[in-house]
Amino acid sequence: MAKTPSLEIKNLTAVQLMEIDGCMRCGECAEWCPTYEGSNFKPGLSPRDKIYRWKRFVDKTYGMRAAFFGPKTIPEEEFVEFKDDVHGCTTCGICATVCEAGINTVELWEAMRANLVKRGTGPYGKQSAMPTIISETFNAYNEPKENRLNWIPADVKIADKAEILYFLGCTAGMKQTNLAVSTARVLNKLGVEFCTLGEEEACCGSVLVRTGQYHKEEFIAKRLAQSNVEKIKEKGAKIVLYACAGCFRASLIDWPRLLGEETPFKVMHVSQFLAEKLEKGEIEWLQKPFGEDKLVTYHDPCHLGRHVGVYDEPRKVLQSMPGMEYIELERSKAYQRCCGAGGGVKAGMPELALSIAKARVGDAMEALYPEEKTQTNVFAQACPFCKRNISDGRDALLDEDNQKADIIIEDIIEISARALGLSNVKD
Amino acid sequence: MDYFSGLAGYSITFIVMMTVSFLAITLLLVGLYFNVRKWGQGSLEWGVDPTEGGNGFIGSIVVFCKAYWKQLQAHSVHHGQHILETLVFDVILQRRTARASPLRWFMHILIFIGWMGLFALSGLMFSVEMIHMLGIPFIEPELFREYLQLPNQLLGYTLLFGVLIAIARRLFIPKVRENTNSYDSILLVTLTVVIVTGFFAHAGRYIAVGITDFTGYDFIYLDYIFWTLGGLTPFLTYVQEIALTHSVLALFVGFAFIPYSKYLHMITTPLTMIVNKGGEH
Repeated sequence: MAKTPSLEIKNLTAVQLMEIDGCMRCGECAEWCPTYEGSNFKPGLSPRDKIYRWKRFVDKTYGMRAAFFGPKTIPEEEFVEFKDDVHGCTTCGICATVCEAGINTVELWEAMRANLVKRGTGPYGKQSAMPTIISETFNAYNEPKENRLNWIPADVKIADKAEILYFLGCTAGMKQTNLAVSTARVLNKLGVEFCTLGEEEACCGSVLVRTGQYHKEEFIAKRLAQSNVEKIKEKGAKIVLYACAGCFRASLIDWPRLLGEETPFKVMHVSQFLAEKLEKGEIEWLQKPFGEDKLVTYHDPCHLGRHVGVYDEPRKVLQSMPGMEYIELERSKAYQRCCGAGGGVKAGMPELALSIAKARVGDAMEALYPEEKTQTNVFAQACPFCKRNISDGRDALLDEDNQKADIIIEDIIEISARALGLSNVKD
Repeated sequence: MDYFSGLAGYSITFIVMMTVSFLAITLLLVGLYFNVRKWGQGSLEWGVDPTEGGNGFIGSIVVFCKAYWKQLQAHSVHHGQHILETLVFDVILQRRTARASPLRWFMHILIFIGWMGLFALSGLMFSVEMIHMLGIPFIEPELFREYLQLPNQLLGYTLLFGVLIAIARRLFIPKVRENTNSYDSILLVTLTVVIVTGFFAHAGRYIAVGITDFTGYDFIYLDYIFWTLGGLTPFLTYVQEIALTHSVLALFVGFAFIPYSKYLHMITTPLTMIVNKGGEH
């Protein structure tokens, strides 16, 4: 009787299996990997090590020896250990950026995760609850769907149908509502008619794709994408705006792939939208966002920067504001250091996420306070997950009595609202 | 029937070399097939599961080729680049390595130039020999062999220098040393053996025909040093065996061994760069 292989090649494409053999083991990925560094260089977290281990799994199961004599049994502990390590990755993509072989590592990690989930070894810890929660509530926070409307202040005007639709995302709609409030007020102030999906909005599915669980609950991620796309079409929207980098990335890359076709609308991050308006002279900032001159620097969210290449627009917006002197971080744009929240790490390994966040706040401290701290400066982002994790990193450093960690951490759209004289909070 | 790089009356004959070459090519092809077969167990595209029970003899090759073509044609959100740019800058000039580490780039480009150059010149010499064997008047193999001496030597030194840097990195840079495993060191050790035996074989051939004064042969002086340092003078009688050893090693290590070792990256890395449109940057 044929021996059952320890590993089935599910979710990995033929090209990905070749890419694994393309790794030259130069180690450049390990030099840059934020989780490898954040874990104090735990060998298993190095991207190079993960590729090599997976190569060995594949060779033992499908290599030449296996073809002649049958697959070798791989001890279950090796898969469990590998699962822990491959989930200790924020899928930030710096390993792909620096990979000398040009391997698309982000796709590889996600494929390995999906493979392990199908195998029954993954996902990691609390991540396993996500598909059920999302399939039942259509959001990642297990909130009733009517809570998606709680953020709306009385002064905000939202059209029933419009050419521009603001896709809130679960985090801005339910947790970091300042982001939703700011976006809506800014759009109103600029005279942009917009609609939302209201309580019909469903999770973008990003977290399911990132953690390798998109196929669970009868392909929940595909059903979410279908539902969102259909409802956006019903609203007649031609442009869909996002203030969440994760949702933006999901709509731009994951939805077309899940659905097998391009989406029938243009997808824009709100920073791109504002930069376009600035270029047309349609925005006039009314005041200094923080009432006084500040230094500001910007953290490129992985999902907005490296994953889809939006680098210049957020900078244009910040640089155009009065009273904001822009300073670039040493590690920025394609070589930015991840905040540590992505890829399910914040939910699955919060301590690792915090360690990376502290390192990122350290980067900002160096840029904003090269010498003495004389005032509190600003660290801007364009993603609610980055904001949350970097804020946690700052708080942890403040708890350690690091006074230079006293930094204002805000999203670009919140800062934009301030510059237009608008409040960020509901009431 | 003499082998082009051998000497009349000795043991390396055309038949011997053809047999060895045929065996090496067979091993290379078999190894490549099993690699493609392994890759072909994967799916055609993202999110699709592979065929139940895996793909067969031909099926796996077809799946791999189709998957490769599909990905090559796929739209890239922001980092697509023209295939020619990838070929010139990323594959040949190794731009991605240059960006990361100039020293590693210098080392790798020396090995790349040395290896590819020697491979190409060996192929050229083989072609001339074959044309000669077929009786087509073209160029005398002996004369052509002499033309190739200098470029062969220079490429040999280039390769040697690159490998020496690689060895030094692995030995003296702690981070590199700690992360070196057998997969890395087998490549380096085998490559070193092939290069050193290459110099032995080359010097031996000259010495065997009575050239011991290297005036006018400066470019092989290093070979002579190798020969002497290697204490091989007493083995002058076996110069052809030494040359044969090198040829066999070169064919088996540098050719047949490719699909079974880290040498495989010579094929898979360019394929990866091309299919990923130059990779992210």
